[in-house]
Amino acid sequence: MSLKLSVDWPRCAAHGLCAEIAPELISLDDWGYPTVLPGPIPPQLVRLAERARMACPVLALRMEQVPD
Amino acid sequence: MSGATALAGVGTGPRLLAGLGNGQRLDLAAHLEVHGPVTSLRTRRRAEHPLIEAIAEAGVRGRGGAGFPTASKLRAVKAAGRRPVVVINGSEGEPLSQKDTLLLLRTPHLVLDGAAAVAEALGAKEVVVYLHRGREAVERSVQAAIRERDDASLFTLVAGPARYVAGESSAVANFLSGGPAIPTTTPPRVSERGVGGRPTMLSNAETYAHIGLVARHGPEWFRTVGTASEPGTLLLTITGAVQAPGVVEVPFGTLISTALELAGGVSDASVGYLLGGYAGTWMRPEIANDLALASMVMRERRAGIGVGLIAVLPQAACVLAETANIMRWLANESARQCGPCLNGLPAIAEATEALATGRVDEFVLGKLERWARMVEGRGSCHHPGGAVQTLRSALDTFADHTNQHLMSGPCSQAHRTWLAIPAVPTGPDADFR
Ligand SMILES: Cc1cc2nc3c(=O)[nH]c(=O)nc-3n(C[C@H](O)[C@H](O)[C@H](O)COP(=O)(O)O)c2cc1C
Ligand code: SF4
Ligand code: SF4
Repeated sequence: MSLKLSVDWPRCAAHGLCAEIAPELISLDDWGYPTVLPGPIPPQLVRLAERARMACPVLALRMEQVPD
Repeated sequence: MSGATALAGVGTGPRLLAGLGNGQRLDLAAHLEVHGPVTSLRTRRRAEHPLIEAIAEAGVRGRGGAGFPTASKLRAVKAAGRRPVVVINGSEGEPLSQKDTLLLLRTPHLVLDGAAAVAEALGAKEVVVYLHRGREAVERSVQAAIRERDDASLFTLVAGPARYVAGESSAVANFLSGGPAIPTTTPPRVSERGVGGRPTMLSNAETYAHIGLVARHGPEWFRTVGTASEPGTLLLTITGAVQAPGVVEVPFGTLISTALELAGGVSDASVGYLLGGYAGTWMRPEIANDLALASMVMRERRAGIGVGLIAVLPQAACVLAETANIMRWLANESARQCGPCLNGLPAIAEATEALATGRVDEFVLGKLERWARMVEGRGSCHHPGGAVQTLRSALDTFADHTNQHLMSGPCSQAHRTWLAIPAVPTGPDADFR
């Protein structure tokens, strides 16, 4: 198993905080919505991903276990 | 539904459309005469319910667009462990598709039989027939059929908003749970947590009709036509520049040209076919004609069977103008809850319109591809991905014509379009209620 970031799209309101905190993992599209790094989160970035997830004011960032 | 014809399949008698010649509608007596009663299937392994085993062995795949193996879904619902709800998705939101409507109008008992057999196999006590509002004839047909049956109390009919995404499975479950008919974020899937939080077996009306026959004749019979990976037949709506537009039934693996002959043949030279629906694939006739209706073959051409639709565009038409109309419609049909879909689809529609009917430079193609990548897979449902599929196939397949637009502006056909676009919704439909 590995961890993966995903966005709960109806919740996400393009606050952009996530990308500010974790630019290594998240960039913003033309309208300010996050694009997350595809594939598993590199182990050294898991804590950063968790911080980004917690920072989202509407809890729109999901971190899930996915089978390898 | 106007002009729908039920034609025989190739190399086999019709299955779903059996007994429907001359515009007949099969009431219960006629239905039993044509198809016979449902008898119990014998089990081989007894590891699971004989119907689920039979559906797995038959290799039934969903006919709602994605072609997902039906047995896998049944097993997921069963594994959820609680008493499930069965839903027949008869919403048929694809504007040109008529196959589910045809089944529910003319042979409703086949669909209900399939759903009743599934309910029995899953231990469900409730089957919901879900339709889009405004199709009174379909509602009357389904109500009349339910009243005729011994198991009438199993069924309820619910009509939801007549919106394209309202037919997506999580949107259906959301509406049947009292919410708006807009998709929800997955997981959970509806098979796990759907209507009222219960595991929900939701399939397309045609899928249940096939199950109604598997329940009678078993998997070996089912596999006698079609291909090894896609056994059986499928319904196709054939529309546009053909002599006899309507619904035909053909085995999987049938050539597209053969299917078109069943609809009377192409009536005029054609510039291109739209395969699979408004969220579909444009293809040149000379390539499409020789293509088999088999997912593996079509995938190589980056196409799919989708909901089973072939729209034949006449020669005197502009694919870009048609695509621009489709993009605008798909943008209007967004549930507007996911940022990329809400912002991206209108941006794509506007740029496609400019390309089709205005004067633009080649940068528009880069913009379109950039936005296509930005909306694809970035929403709660596959709506944006479907739009991108149609757009990319138009630009790739008709690259020459696109260049002509870029160099000399709109072509002489660009201001007249052929494909029907539904009106902008009003009333409760407007907010998916
Ligand atoms: C935007 C959108 C619209 C859809 N509309 C319909 C529809 O009108 N009818 C339908 O059966 N499935 C529709 N689907 C597919 C359903 O989500 C679901 O996959 C299908 O009903 C499952 O049935 P099946 O397994 O028998 O194919 C739609 C999907 C999407 C993404
Ligand atoms: S912080 Fe939350 S709401 Fe803001 S862009 Fe990121 S995911 Fe969306
Ligand atoms: S992707 Fe678009 S259509 Fe699908 S749920 Fe999100 S906003 Fe609605």
